Amino acid sequence: MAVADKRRKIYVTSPGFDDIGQVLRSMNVNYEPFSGSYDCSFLFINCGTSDRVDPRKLADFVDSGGCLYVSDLAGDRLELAFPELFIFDGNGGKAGEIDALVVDRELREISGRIIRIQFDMGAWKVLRHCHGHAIIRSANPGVYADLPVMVSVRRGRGMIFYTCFHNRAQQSAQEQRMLQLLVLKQISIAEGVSVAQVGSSLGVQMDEIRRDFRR
Amino acid sequence: MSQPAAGQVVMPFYLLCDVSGSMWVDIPALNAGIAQLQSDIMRDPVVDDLTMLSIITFADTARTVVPLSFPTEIQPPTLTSGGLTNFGPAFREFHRVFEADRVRLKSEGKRIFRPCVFFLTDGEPTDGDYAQVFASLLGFDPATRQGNARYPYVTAFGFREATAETMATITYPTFGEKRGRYFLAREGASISDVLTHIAGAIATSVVGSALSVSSGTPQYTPPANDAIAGMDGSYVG
Repeated sequence: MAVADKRRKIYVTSPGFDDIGQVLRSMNVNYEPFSGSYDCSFLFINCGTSDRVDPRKLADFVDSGGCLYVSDLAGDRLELAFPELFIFDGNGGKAGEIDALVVDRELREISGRIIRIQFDMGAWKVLRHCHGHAIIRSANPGVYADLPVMVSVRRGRGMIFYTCFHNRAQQSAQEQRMLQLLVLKQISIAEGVSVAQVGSSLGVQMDEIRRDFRR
Repeated sequence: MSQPAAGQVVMPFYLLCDVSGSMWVDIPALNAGIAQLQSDIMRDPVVDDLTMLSIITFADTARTVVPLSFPTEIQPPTLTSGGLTNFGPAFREFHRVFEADRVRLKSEGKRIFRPCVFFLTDGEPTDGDYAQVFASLLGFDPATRQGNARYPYVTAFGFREATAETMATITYPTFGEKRGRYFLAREGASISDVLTHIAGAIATSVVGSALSVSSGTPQYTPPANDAIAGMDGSYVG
């Protein structure tokens, strides 16, 4: 059953390299396509979307309490809207696997400490630093050591979530689950409840998610 | 600095600094804090005679960037960041250098006070076994007298992604009257300001500890729980 909660008005941009809408649908979360309006509580901006996003309206949306999801190359929009909050290091991310430390305690209890992330294509946007908290951080030695992979940043009355990896065709069960958890985390913070409570309200089987991380 | 006489107490302080990749933006403030710390300590010649300071950095691995020295002898380092946040190597390096420092100072006829460690980090450790490393090298059981009887006082300072749970695991001792304490930055606190305040609090702690020697009862004087602006202090154990 799809969840129809008016407080949870969600807009999602058209898919590009990312299709976060698919992740939302996998958890029966209703959303509407983004059409240039910002009168929602959650806005998801897909990596590679062709939709026009106004940086000033995006900043206003977050300042006034909106919750924003942005993935990978759509980080360009963050640089324009919130130049003081995110420091990127170009689009030089290389294809390959990395081990990543789940820093967020609540998600770590579900996922375990370390997960493996596959970047199946190169040229992903490397985040150097942000004025917020890492949810996941690279645990690989070398060039990506300690870099944030998924972050949350508080700004005004709202929140921004950015992830370097995202939904794609050849995705591992762990990555799929982590993106589901990220959506649950966003809703949980915005609504002041736990991830488990959000999962429960959506009918998401949290035990199944836990099992997939332990396979 | 005058050379301390044989038999004189020396209080060794070790600053263990996280220089992992995530510290990138904080490194200038950390370098400035260390320079300020040295300046504050060496201002008082008595303190300079009684205390020695070493700086160990850690990321993927750990290394001693300032060997244990009297404050006026120290050339403040210029730290750079890069690598993971591995706590285990930091404890191994501290254990290694302190044992060597202890032997050296004893051979010079000095009496060495229990080592005091100030541990600074901005995040969660990447290595999953750091607590076991700490327990095996530095832990002590006062009931059975097993473990390292020369265990250090560890005061931990955490900011950004550091959590109370993790800080509590590396703060020491967890027993006795001189229980360790850790400090955690408040949400929204400016990290560069916090680093400045930490350096000031460490300097106050070092000076206070050194001055206790002249009272005839040397003791480690950790920063008070409410002594650092932007941080909250807690005891462990």
